[in-house]
Amino acid sequence: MANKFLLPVYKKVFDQQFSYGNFEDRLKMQKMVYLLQEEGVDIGHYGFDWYKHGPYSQALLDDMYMESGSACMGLNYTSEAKEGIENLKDIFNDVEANSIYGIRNWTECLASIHFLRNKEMGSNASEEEILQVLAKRKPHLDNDNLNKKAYRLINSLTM
Amino acid sequence: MGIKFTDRILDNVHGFIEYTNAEKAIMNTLLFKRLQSIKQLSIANWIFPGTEHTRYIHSLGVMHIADKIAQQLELPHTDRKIIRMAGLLHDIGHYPLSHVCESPYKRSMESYTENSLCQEINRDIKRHIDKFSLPITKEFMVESIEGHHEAVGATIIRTDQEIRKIITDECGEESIDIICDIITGNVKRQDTNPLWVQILHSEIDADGIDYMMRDAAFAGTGFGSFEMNQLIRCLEKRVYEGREILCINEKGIAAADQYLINKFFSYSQVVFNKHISNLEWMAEMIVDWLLKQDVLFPTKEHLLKRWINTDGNFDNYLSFTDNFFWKALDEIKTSPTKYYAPDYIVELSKKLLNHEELPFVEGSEIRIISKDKENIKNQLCDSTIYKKYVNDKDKIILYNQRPMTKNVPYQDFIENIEKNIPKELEEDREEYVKNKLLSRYMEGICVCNKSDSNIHLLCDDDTSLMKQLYGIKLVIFRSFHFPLADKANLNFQSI
Repeated sequence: MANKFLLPVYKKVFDQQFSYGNFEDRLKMQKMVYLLQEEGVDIGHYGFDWYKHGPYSQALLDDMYMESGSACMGLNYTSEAKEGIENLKDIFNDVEANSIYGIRNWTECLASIHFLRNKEMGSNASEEEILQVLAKRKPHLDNDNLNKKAYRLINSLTM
Repeated sequence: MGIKFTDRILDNVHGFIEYTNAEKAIMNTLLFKRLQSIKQLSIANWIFPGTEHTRYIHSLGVMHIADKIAQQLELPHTDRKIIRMAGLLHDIGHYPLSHVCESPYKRSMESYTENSLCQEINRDIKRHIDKFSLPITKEFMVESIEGHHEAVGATIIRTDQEIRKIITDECGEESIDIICDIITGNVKRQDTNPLWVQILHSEIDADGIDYMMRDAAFAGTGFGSFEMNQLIRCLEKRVYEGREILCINEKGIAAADQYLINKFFSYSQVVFNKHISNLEWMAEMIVDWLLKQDVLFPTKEHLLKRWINTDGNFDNYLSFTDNFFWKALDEIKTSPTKYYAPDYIVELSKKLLNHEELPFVEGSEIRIISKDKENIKNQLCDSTIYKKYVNDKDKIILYNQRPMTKNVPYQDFIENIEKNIPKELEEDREEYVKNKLLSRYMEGICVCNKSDSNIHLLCDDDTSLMKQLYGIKLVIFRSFHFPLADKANLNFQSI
């Protein structure tokens, strides 16, 4: 029980159980926790670095491993946490984005834009500059309109 | 042109601390003066009456020490100005009673159920114990997240026009991002030299040096004394993977050992004092309840979006000091029904206002200092206190822990990292290992030799005590009576 929040929050956001053996689930968990942390929801305190699939935390992977197989327990969420989780869920479940990118690439797109904007590039970096870097590093995220939409949604999600 | 100091202030730890006009302008802002009303060690002054010092004088101390380090590294005055400013402003986002009120803001995800409060609190102890199974720390230089006082401080610096203007006029527009990176510990941006971040965010940083010396001096203990001048005099910089790393040379090893050992003692003897832990827990429980009910204390969102991101209107935030906490307690005590406060919150508030603490369960303290994680885990799980009270409805278990150092020798670290590399990072293997080693060197105390450019950590140095002491961890368990059904008759103890 390294982080009791991981499994129930994952289920709440993606409406499915988390499976450690599934790469897509692990990637979605990484992006979910990263964005919740940045939104101010206290799901943990993980250090994220940039790798091939965007923001990634080794300590989070360790916690996922420790949690795998545990029962998904019910939690008595605070109203603030509930709101934060619902906001992220709405963004992740964007119908247009899911139909074009699929959930895995969409969560990767959102978290990567946030990381580039808030961690790597200065506050003066424009939307255009950030999306250019995204396109260069992640050629598979090749829909400009969707990337712009992701940028807007990230702006509305976090300060 | 160097740095022009225009005035000075007398500090009983470092002597005269000089400052510039720009720094004076920061010190004269109400946002900075607010720190005069936040005690560095919350309510530790009830136990160590001398600890009346505030975040204000600590901030000046950090600026002073950070600059001493910068001068030792022969950084240009333009860099020194930025580092001094970051030191001065590093705590500007601190909460009332410092970490006591910050702590509930960092665990605001779940509410406690009143009728199983003790059990829920004690159940979380199991999580801490389980964490011992994780092999070694793999993350270093972890940036502060939303709601952490450093992240709050960065938001204030980015938002307040008065502070922004002072910084921009003194250090340039681009320095705003850099100062925020230094404060929050962000080493990912290319514009921010990680060396500057390490001066405020590493195992041997200006923040730690100042608070250790200051806390000990005011508490009246000797645990904060160490050869500071020798330590700073031996600091050097080296380059690893193209990024600058703060190091000590061989002559500073003894001072660095002494610093880490005394820091360990200052936690075990002052910060983790039985009475202080008890009183701070009571205060945290009250704040936890207040902010989750959005009563008297602002929720995190309210604090960040309405009190800080307000186009210059900081009136609410300026009153968010130690006194804000005591006033809230008084409100609860006077008008409990107005806030629908449960009995235990009313009782805790009254008791704190009367300087009373929860009664200690005699003989319940376990104090372990060991290198062997499995041994610590077994001792804790096999202990009477754990077995007897983990499901107790009327007693809480409080837990403190502190490692001597987060670092482990290179061989252990690299073997563990390479053995456990996640499948999804196979293609990034080289980059991944390089990044892990880099952040490990940034956070830990690196030793450099005069003769070559190689660096290694203190725990890998044959002449350092850390080679023997790395991995040592102090863990304390204590139990306190907290019968929810009969709180009014609970025999609280006067301090």
